[in-house]
Amino acid sequence: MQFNSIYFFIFFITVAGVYFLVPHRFRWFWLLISSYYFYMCWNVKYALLIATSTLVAYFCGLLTGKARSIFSKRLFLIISLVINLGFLFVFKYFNFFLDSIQKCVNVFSIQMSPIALKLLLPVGISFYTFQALSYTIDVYWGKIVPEKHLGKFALYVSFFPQLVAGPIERATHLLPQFSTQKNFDYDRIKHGFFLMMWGIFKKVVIADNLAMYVDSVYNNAQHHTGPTFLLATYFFAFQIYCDFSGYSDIAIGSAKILGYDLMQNFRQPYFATSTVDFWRRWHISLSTWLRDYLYIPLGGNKKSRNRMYINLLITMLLGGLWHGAVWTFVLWGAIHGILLIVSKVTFSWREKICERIGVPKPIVTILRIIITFNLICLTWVFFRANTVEDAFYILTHLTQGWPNLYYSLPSCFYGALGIIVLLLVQCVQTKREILPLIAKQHIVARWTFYVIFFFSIVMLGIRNGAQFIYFQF
Amino acid sequence: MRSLKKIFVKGVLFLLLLFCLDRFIGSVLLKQLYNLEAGQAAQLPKALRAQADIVVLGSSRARHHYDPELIEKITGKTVFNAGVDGLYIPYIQGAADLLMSRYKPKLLVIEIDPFYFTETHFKDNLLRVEALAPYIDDSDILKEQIFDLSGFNRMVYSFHTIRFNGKPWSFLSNIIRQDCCPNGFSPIKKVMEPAEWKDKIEDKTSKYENFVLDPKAVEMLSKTIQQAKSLRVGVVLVTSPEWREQIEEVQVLLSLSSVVKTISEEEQVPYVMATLDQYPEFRDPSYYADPSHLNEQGARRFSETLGTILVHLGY
Repeated sequence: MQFNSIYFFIFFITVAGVYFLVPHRFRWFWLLISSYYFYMCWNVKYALLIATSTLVAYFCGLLTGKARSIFSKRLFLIISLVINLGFLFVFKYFNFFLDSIQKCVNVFSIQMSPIALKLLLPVGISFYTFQALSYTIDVYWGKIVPEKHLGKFALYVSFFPQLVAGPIERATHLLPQFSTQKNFDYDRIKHGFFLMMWGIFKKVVIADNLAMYVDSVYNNAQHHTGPTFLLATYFFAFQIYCDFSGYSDIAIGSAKILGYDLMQNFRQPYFATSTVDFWRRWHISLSTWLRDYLYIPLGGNKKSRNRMYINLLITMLLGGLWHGAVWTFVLWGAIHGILLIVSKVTFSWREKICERIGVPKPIVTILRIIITFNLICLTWVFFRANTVEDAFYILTHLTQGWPNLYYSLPSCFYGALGIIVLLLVQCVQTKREILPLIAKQHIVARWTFYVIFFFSIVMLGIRNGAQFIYFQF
Repeated sequence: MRSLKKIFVKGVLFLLLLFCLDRFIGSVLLKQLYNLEAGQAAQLPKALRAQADIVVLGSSRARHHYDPELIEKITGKTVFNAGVDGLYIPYIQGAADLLMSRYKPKLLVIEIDPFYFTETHFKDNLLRVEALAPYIDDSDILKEQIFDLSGFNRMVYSFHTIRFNGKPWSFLSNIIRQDCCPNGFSPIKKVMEPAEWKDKIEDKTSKYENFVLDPKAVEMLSKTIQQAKSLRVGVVLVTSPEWREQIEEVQVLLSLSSVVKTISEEEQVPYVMATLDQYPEFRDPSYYADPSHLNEQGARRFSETLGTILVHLGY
C-alpha cells in the first residue's frame, strides 16, 4: 500500500476515524492491528519477521533490565543484536556477500558454484531493525526502562506511518506517546493534513516527474552525453530529496493527525554549507542513529584525530551499505566519509583563507552552499547509477558532447516548476515556519492557496507513479 | 467537541468549493481540449473537427508513416492522420468510437503492428489509454476501458479535473508552439544508421521470443471493426514496413501477423501487410528513421503505395 495511493487514503481515513471513536485504552490495539494490516498488504508472511524481531527485542530488553551482572546484560544484548542483524544479513546482504566472495575467489581461478537465496527483500527491514536495535541498546545502556507492555512495544516497532521508510524513531521519544491520551485537536489535524499534502506534492509532482527524465538517462547511460548527465544528476538530487522527504512528511503528518510527534527527518539539506552540515540536515534519524550507536561507540572524536577519521569512514561506509547490498551504495558511503574527513581537515584553512581575502560573509555562505550542493550531487551519481561502471562512465563523460542536451517535455517542465516552488518554500522556511505564516493570512488568500495546491497535485502529479525509493531499503 | 464541529463545517465547505471548482475547471478545460491546435493531444480533436473521409488510426507508426496529402491526391478523398505516439489498440478502439459517434467517415485505416497483440506489449501499455480520460463522457467504450483498469477509477474519474492529469503542458504548448502538422502527419527527418541499432533489436527480439497472445487485444480490434461495419464505415488493416524485420526473428513477426490476418478474414476486411518480401524497395535503410519507423522519404513512398492499394480496394 503506497502512501500516494487512493488505497492508503481510504485506509488512513478509516484508521483515524475509528481511532478517535474508540476509548483511549484500546487505541494502541487498534493502531497495532492497523499497522500489521498495512504491512501485510505488501506481504502477509513477512509480518512474522517483524513479529519475531519485536519479540526478540522485547524479551531481550526485559531480561537485560532484570539482569544483575554485566555479563548477563551483555549476553542478552548480543542475542538481540545477532538475531535482528542476522535477519537483516540473510534477507539483505547474504547474496551480496556471497557474490563478492565468489568474484574474489574467481580472481585466483578457483571455481565456486554459485549459491543464491531466492528471498524477497522485506519492505522497511532496515528501518524497523534499526528501531528495534536502538531500543535494546538503550536498555543495555540504562537510558530507558524496559517496556513491559508487549502490545505497545510491538506498536513502537510497527507503527504504520513510519514502518517502511522511517523516520527511525527512538523508544525514548515514541514509546511514552502511546500511553498518553490524545484528544481531537483542530489545529493539530490541520497541521498534519497540510504536511501530508505537502509530502504528496513533493512525491507526485516533483519526484515522480523528475524520475521520468532521470530514469531515461541513467538507465541508458551509454546513449547520453555530458550536459544530459549533468541535468539528470541535478534532477536526481531533487528527485531523491522530494521522494524521501515527501514520504517523511506524509509519515509525520499522518502520525500528527493521530496525535503523535515523529522526529524531523530533513531540514533544507541543500542549503547546507558543508558536508558535515549536510548530514545534520539529511535523513536526520539515520545520521543521528549512526552517530549514537556506531560512531560514538567506536570512539567518536574522543580519541586521536586519525582515529576520528577512521571512525567517520567506517560509519559512512556502513551507512552506505545500510542503503543496499550493492557496491554503488558502498562507494557512495565511502565518498561521503572522505568528504567529511576533508571537510574537517580543511575547515580551519578555509576559514583563514576567507578571512584574509575579506569576502563578505553572505557571499561566502552562498559559495559554500553551491560547492556543497555540487559535491553532494557528485555522490548522487554513485547512488543512482545502476552499476559502478555506469557511475564512472557518467563521471568521465561529464565534459563530453556539449552542448547536446536531451530533454523530455513535459516531465522536465513540471519537475523544474516543482523545484522552483520547493526552493521558494525552503527559502521561507529558513526564516520561519510556513504553516503559521499561511494560517495568518486572510481566509480568501488561505483557501486560494489550498485550492491551487490541491489542483496542482491533481493535474501535475504522476498517477500510478513509482514507489518511494526508500521502500527498497 | 467544538474542534470536531469546526473541522466538519470547514471540511464540508472546502469540499463543496473543490467540487464546484472541479466542475468549472473541468468544463473549461474540455472545451479548450476540443479546440487544441498543436501537439499530440490535439490529434484527436483535430480529427473530430476535420471530419475527413479517410481517417488513419494507430500509434507513432501511423503518425509518422501516412501522408494524408499524397493519399488524398491518389484517392481523391479527404484524409486525416489521427495517429498518436505510444497509444495502441485501446486508443484505436476509443478514438474510433469517438469519431464514429460524431460522424461517419468513409474509411478507417488502422495501422497495426502485430506486436501489439502480445500479452507483454498489451499489458505494459494498457494504462496509457488514461490519456483519453477527458473524453470519457463522450464515449462509452472509453469509459468502459478506463473504468476496467482499476476498481477505483469510477470514483477517481468522477472528478473532472483529474481527467486532465498531465495535460497542462498540452494547453501551454498550444499557446507557445506552432501547429506542425495540420493534417496530423508528422514526418521524421532523421536517416537511420543500421549499425547503431543491431544490439537493441536483439534485446527486443528476445523479449517477444516466447510471446503469448492477449485475447483482450484481439477482442478490442474485432469489436472496433464490427462497430465500424455496423455503421457502414469501411475498415482496412495495415502493417506498414519495418526495417527490423530484416534482423529479427521473422518467425515471431509472421506468427503474430497471422493473428491480424485471422481477424481480417473473420471480420471480412482487407489486411495490407507491407512485408519486405512483398515490397523489397523498403529494404533500403535510407527510408527509415529507426528500425520501426519510416522517415519522411520512406513515409512518402509508403503513402503513395498505400494510396494505390486503397484505390484498388475501391476507396
